[in-house]
Amino acid sequence: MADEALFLLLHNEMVSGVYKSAEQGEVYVPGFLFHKEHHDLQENGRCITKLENMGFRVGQGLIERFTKDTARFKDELDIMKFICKDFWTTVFKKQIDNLRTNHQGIYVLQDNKFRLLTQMSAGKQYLEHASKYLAFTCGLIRGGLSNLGIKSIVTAEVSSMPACKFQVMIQKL
Amino acid sequence: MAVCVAVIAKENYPLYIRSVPTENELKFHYMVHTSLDVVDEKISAMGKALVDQRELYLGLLYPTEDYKVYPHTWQWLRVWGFPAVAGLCTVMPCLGLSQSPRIKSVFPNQLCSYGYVTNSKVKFVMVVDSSNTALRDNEIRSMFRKLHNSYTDVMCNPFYNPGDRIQSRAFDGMVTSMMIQARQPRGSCVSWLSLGIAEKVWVGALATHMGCLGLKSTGKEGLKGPLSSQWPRRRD
Repeated sequence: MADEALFLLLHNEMVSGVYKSAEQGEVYVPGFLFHKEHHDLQENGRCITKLENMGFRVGQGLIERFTKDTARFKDELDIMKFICKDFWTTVFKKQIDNLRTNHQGIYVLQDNKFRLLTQMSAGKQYLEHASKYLAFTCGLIRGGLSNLGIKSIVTAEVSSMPACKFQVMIQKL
Repeated sequence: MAVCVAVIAKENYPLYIRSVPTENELKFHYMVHTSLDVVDEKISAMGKALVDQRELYLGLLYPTEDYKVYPHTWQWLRVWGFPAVAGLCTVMPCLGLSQSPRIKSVFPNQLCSYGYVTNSKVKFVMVVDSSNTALRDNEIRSMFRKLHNSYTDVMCNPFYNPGDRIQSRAFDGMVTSMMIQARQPRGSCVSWLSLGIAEKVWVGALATHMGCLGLKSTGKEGLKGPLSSQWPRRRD
């Protein structure tokens, strides 16, 4: 289907766009106490934050739209299930493969064939670039949850390429 | 129908509130504010309900009844410096001409507030004037549906910052359409708003005249100012 490809292409362009603009905008001034590696690391962090924030805003809008016709949620688990099933299906055309929780505010969402990574690699090649391509999705989850009234921290981890895990840490008030 | 529409954020501050222009807009604000307690009550009761009962529409929150009486006329005339009228205003109650319960029952103004809560805990409250048209539940439901659709459009607008006041014109227009389609001439109360100044003077004079004849009364409320909070109020 063409509409899936469009999202993937747009996402790829967005990531490279953010990184390119960071490269152009920042002039690296070599100096004392300032190492090139350190600078790059900082730059990378900034780009990831930017992508994550974009995802956050998009997630807020999307969840508003998707939950328009659903019944009211019963509890936190109900919301997580919605994210894993309906939300994931609409965005990534498949459900989350495995949802685990310790019932104390930590949820692990495992996707064995994550859409945004399938085109890239099927193993450990380009593993260092994976984080760029997961930041937006982390933001998407965080934004969605925050609009439903749950504050959280979302991190992603990848060990071998198309599979990845999202860890959602819910912050109790 | 709809005389006041409000969108309330998750944290219970207004994102948008609009009512038909009347002298006592504040009354609607109070009413919406009071409704929030009922909304909270309903949501907390709903948590344990079955799936099909957990819908977003909350139904009627509470009805209020108050009375539109002529005193507004008197107020206008007084404000515009008709000393004779002002004098009459003070004299009439003494003569025992003002308390005529008949008037009150002629124009009862029944307002009902309805609630709706989205999954993101944003509350919509609508105050509906149902004095002479009893609205069906379905109509209210579809009005809320329209409101919710519009709200999601606002949320998906990249120029809108979630949590800010809603200033979208599209949203505003939708609310206006809901209030206008709803607006029906209802005795002299509503059409009064659309009268020009000259007509107001005439109607005022007429009412004065009738008041003198004891046919219409000025009512006590009129003397307490347009923002009078003395309306009889019932809460079930």
